[in-house]
Formats: sequence, C-alpha cells, structure tokens
Amino acid sequence: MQALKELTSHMRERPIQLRQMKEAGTKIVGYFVGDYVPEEMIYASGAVPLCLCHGGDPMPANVALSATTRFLCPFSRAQYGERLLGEQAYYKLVDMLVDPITCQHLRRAGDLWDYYTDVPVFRLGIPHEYNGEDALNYYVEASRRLKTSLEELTGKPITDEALREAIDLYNRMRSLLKGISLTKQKPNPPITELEFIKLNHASMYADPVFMVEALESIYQEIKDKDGEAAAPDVPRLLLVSPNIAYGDYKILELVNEAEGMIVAEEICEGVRFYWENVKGDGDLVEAIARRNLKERLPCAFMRDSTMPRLDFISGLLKQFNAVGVIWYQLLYCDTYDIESFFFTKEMQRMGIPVLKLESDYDILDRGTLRTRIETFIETIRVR
Amino acid sequence: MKKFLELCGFEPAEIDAELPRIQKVFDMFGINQEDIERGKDRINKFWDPELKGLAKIRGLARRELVDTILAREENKINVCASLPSATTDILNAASFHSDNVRATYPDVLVLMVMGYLFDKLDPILEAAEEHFLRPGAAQCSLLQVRLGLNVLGLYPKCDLLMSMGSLCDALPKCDEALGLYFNIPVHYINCCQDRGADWEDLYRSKDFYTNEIKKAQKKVSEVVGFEVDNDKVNEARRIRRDAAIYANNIFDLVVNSDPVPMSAACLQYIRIFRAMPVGRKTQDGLNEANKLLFEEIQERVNRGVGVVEKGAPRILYAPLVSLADPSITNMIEELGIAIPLSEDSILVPDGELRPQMDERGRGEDPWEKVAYALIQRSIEASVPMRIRAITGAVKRYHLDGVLNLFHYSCRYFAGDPLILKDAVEKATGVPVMVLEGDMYDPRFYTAEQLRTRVEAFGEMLRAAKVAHK
Ligand code: SF4
Ligand code: SF4
Repeated sequence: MQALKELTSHMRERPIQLRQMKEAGTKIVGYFVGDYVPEEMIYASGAVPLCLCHGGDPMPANVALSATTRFLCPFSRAQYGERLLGEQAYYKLVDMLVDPITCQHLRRAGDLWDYYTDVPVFRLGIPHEYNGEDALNYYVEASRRLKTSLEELTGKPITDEALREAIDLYNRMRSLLKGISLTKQKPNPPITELEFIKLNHASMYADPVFMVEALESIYQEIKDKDGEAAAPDVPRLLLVSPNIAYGDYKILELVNEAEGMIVAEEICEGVRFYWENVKGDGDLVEAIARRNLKERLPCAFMRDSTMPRLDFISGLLKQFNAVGVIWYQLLYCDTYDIESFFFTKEMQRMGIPVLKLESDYDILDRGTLRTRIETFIETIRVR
Repeated sequence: MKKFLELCGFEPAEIDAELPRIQKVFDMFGINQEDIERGKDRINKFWDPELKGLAKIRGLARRELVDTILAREENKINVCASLPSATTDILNAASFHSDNVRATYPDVLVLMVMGYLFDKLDPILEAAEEHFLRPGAAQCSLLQVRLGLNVLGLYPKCDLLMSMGSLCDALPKCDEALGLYFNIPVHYINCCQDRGADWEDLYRSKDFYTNEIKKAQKKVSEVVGFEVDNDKVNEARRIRRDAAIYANNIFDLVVNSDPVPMSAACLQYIRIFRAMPVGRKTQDGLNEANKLLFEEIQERVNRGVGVVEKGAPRILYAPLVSLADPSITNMIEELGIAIPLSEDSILVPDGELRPQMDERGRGEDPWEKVAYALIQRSIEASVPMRIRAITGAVKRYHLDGVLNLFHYSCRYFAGDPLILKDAVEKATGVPVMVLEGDMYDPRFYTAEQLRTRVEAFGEMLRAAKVAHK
C-alpha cells in the first residue's frame, strides 16, 4: 500500500520535522490521551498538537519510580518516565503540556511534569459527569481558559475561521478512521486490528493534513476489498481496554499468533475515539466540548458510565459479529478493575465469554499471557 | 459485657436500657467474648482510659453504630454518606428535624468500632475481596469496608447514598457498582481537581462545589419527604456548635502544648466525629463529652502531663491518622515522637487551622462557605498548594519533621508523596519520611513492620534538634 509506505516514512521524519519547526518558532503542545483535550483548538492556534501516548515498555514506567510510587498505572508513570529518560523525541519537544483531569493516575502524571520539569502545565478541568449541563458549562469555561493560554503561548488569537477549519480537518480524520474500522465488519477484513491501531496511533503524532490524506488513500484502497480468507473457525473477538498505548501491542500480537481475530475495540485512551464528530456551527468551543463530554462514550472514571459502556460494547459485539471479549487492563487501573467484575458477569449472562488480562508492562508476563490467550481462543473454537 | 460498656462511658441505667440493642448488633457482627476481652485490652492500651470525656465519646460511637445498623429494621428513612464532609450539615438538618430520618457515614462508624476498638475488620474486608474489590489490585480498603458490609447484609437499609466524588474516582465508581448490585439509589457530589498554584483556582472550584452541594440538598429533601431548608440547616449548626467549639479548643491546646497532652489516634476520633453527621441524641452527648474532654485536657496541660515527654520531637502526620488501627501512631508515640498535628487539620495557603473567608469566598450563601472551607483543606488541595500548606504548618507550629504514611491503595494520596518530600524538605529543612501503609486495613502494614524505619526517623529528628540548639 503506497499510502502506508508514505505514512511510515512521514512518521520516521516527523521528530526531525518537528524539531525544525520548533527551532523556527512553532510551539509544540503535548497533551495526555483520552480525547478530552480539544486538539482542534491547539491546531487552530498554530501550535502543533502532540498526543503523548507511548507505553508498553517497562523502562519508562520504572524510571518514573524515582518520582512517584508504584501504585500509579504503568501507562501514567510512563508519561513522566519518557520525559525523564529523554530518549523519546516527542516528549522532549513539548513547550506546554495540557493535562486533562481525567483519572487520578493521569492527573498525577501532570503533577510530575509540573514539579520536575520546566514545561508549563495547563490543568484542563473535566468534571466527571458526562451528562449534566453544569458539568458541560464548567468544561466549556475550562476550554475557554485553555484557548487564552494557547493564544498567550503562540502570541496569536485563535479565530473562529481557524477553529472551524481545524474541526473540519479532525472530523474528516475521525470519519476516515471510522470508515476504515467498519471494514473490519467483513468476514475477511482487509485490515487487521493491529494495523488499524497503529494507524490510529500515527494520527496522534503525524501532521494532521498529511494524516488525513494518507487515511483517505488507505480507505479508498481497502473499502471494497476483502482480506485473506480466514479459517472458518477463527473466533472474532472484541478488545476492551482502558488503554492501548503506542507500543503496547503485545496482546494484539499474541491473539494473532494464537490465530484469533480481534475485529473491533472499545478503548478509552491511547487511541483516538472516532465514533462521534464535532457538530454545530454556533459557539465552536462549546461544540467541541459538547462532543468530547456529552456526545461520546464516557470513560469508566465518569459517574454512572457503566451502563452506557455496557450498551455500547454490546452493540459493537453485534455490529462486528464478535463472539468473545478480551478485556485488557493495566495494573492498578482502579475504575476499570471495578467495572470488569460487573461487565464479565453481564457478558456471561449474554453467553459471551470474557478473558480478563492485566499487565504492568513487564516483559516476563508474555508467557503467561500467551497461554491464557491460546486457551481462551481454543475454548471458543470448540464451543 | 457490662464492664466493657462501663469502659465506654455508659451509665448503669443506660446499660440496662441499651444492652439488648447493643447485643443484637454485636451478634450481627459476630462480636464474641474473646473480642470483648480484646476490646478491653485495646481501650487500656490505646484509649487513654483515665479520660472520662473520651470514654463517653467511645460510647457515643457505639450508640451511633447501633442506631445506624438497626435503622434497617426500625423502618427509618436512611441516608448514608461518607467523608469528605460536604453533606454533614444537610444530613444533620434532616435527622435533627425528624426522628424518622437517620443520616450518617456507616462505614466510618464501623471503622471506629469494629476496627479501632475490636480489630475485627477482616471478615468484612474478605467479603469485599470475594466481590468486585479483589485482592492484589490495590483497591481502597475504605471502599472494601463499604462493599463488605453490603455483601454481608450489614450495611443499613439505604434510601440514598450520597457519593463523594470530590477526591478519587474509585469511591464514586464503587458506589455506582453498589447501586447496580444492591439496588441503592446513588447521588454524586463532584468537584473538579484542576486547581494549581493560584488562589484564583479556588474560587472556580468553590462555585462548582457549592452548586453540587445545593443539588445534594434538593435530593435529600426529595428522599426524606420534607424540605431541608436553610433554616433547618442553621438550626442543626446551632445544635452542633458546642461540640465543634470544644473540639477546636482541644485541637488548639494539643498543637500549642509541650508535652502533647493527647494521643493522635484519640484526637482523630474527635476530629472525625466533628465532621460527620450523627443522630440528635448522639449530638447532645457529644456536646457534653467534648466539653468534659476539653476540661480534662486543659487540666493535663496545666499539670504538664503528656503522652510523650516534654521536649520530644514534634511532627506533622500526613495525610490523616487511621480510624481503623491506632497501633501505628501509638508505636510512633511510644518511640518518643509527638504528633500534635495531622494534615487533615491544616488549610491552604499556609497551614492555618481556620479557613480564610475573604470577600469573594464569603458571600451570602451558607453553602458557599462550606464549599470554600472544604477546598481549603490541605488534603483536598493541589500539589503546589499542599506543599505550601505543609511547609507553612511546619514553620508556624515549630515542627521538627513530617511523616507521610500514604494509603497505598489510594490513587489520590499515592501519587505525590515523593514530590511532597522533596519540596517540603527543601522549603523547611526538616526531614520528611515517607511510609507506605494502609489506613483502613490492618492486615498487611503492621506497626512492628514499620517500627525500624520510624526508630531511625526518630533518631534523625532528635539529632537535628540537638544540632539546632
Ligand atoms: S489505564 Fe486506567 S489508570 Fe491508567 S491512565 Fe488509563 S484510565 Fe487511568
Ligand atoms: S482513601 Fe483514597 S481511594 Fe479511598 S475513598 Fe478516600 S480518596 Fe478514595
């Protein structure tokens, strides 16, 4: 696929390109995952939005232990560990960090940046209530304060026109990712889940205009195609996870190796949420906030999020004709851990087997994970 | 049993009247003779048995627990909540107004009685571990207590659970799950933690929090069937005033005296009782008990009597003293370290004990004051503000060190201990010790296990004190 090759080369060049842009005066704004930071606004400010989402490697999570305790999840520790190690270009380039107040772990990662680095940290207030007007108003006001901070950083006002353009660009990106994802509904998907997630991850760091073009080409190329014929007994699976980080591919690889097929995902962080777009023409800051808080699926840290999440996941199972769920969570992710108990029981009631896996980014757990995944897939196969 | 109740400050007539109900609740919790003997030993060891005011407070905790647990079968409207105490005024207003309403923090009471006194939390924690708060996942033991009580059928019938979403996410998530499993109606009170180093951030939070508390007031009114209006709230505050004043006087005496006249664990009992809603009878008892206790402590101060010797190193204990297990602070005091202050008493910006009520915070609205006071607490503050508050307290109260025993299973408290250590040591020059512990589950982090490190800390504090002289 030519577009994929070009994207790969773009990603290789991207850190150098960003360094040059930074040297020429462009500001780089890093932010944490979860889709609550209005990246459209950062883009419209003329700064480069970078969604920091590396993980899966034990080293950055472990070096962060010099600054925090082991009871934060490995992903949130890695968000500071990467900066501390200084080996990952994206984390070094950041001029300002936007820390969305989502789960306590990521909030603390922002505190670590705030205390130990000289990067200014903007704490973006997100009330943990997705369906209330007061909460929305609070979030809108927080977004407006972010707008002011970005304007101060870049020295330029964010115009409605620029914001409208940015919204259109990111809406297009989300729609294309959705289109590509839906091709996995086919009996023989033209793209694997691992490939899809890697594309999604690329969208966090790539130039958004370039990314949209690449996604457009990829979508056109695969939308009417079928992939290689899968064996008839290959179980189609859904991946549910709080977090799949850039680099945390072990579960996806192991499922492939065990000849299972993940066909869809419900992932709160790490990948871009692409099911809903920003709608409306009035107050654009509010339109973005409304989409991020009210119109998309709430993460598990939100109040009363369990039932809507269960409904959404049940819908995905049907839509993608999946017969089992792999629930992958990170050690000490408290809210997902609480939810997993209820979720597993509800799925069992619906006759859907669930395999719950947990990781601390330790490479030594690969063997155990492999055995559990193989057994799970085998069990489904013989059902 | 009677002897034990006497140790809890019960008068003979009260014992005769209350015994059947107390026995019933103790039976429900499986409290047997062996537990009662252990309870007596613990009173002698941890409870300053000579303080009569304290004995009365122990008895009040017992009464409150009995009334709360039996509310299930006594057909009262029961509103349950938890710390932080944003709902205390509302719930007191409701329960003081009508005998038919019970409103309290059941899990806190269970910690105070089954944990602190009997050391019998294990069955409750184990029941939670069999359900959705599994072992090995560092799930908060405070929430395990709440879940365990529900699993065992010991949680009072609950017409409304006020869920505090102002600190962590685990608590509201746990309450959401309790709602799903046990059919409990849940109402959340949220606050956003986007505050940084600016005081301006507090105003923003205060407005949001105020509104959340008002929504809670409305919700409670719906559930209890009458309007819990501001008049009722003011009346409830009036009823609680004496207990609050004497509690504050006790805190002031303790922090300003050398030697420190009262143990940190006992002081925490008073602090928690001051913050939580209780029944009217308990409140009347508390007003008297706190007065008596204040007089006793004053008398101790006059005599120069303390729980550690005069001149002992004095520390700030962060974030808060356990309500379930007094053995750790007791061990610290046995090692000759005085704990006149814990972080949950101090406020931003500079470690004061009383909140700042400036023009923008005061307002006309009583709820605005509650919200403003709550978010000024150091333990609810942002990291930069927390650093300032602890630093301020160390300087203001001439403390020799800080001990941060963080609750390992709490994401809220487990993320920043090393930042606090670094910043406070740099700002004050006093040593800060960080210990990993569990505030509500005594099974794993025992006093004996922590003793060696605390001994070393004590030596460091004493050496620094000598060098300073
Ligand atoms: S994996 Fe869980 S704990 Fe970690 S950042 Fe995501 S939601 Fe928070
Ligand atoms: S101790 Fe921590 S985790 Fe537990 S309920 Fe309180 S804030 Fe939440």
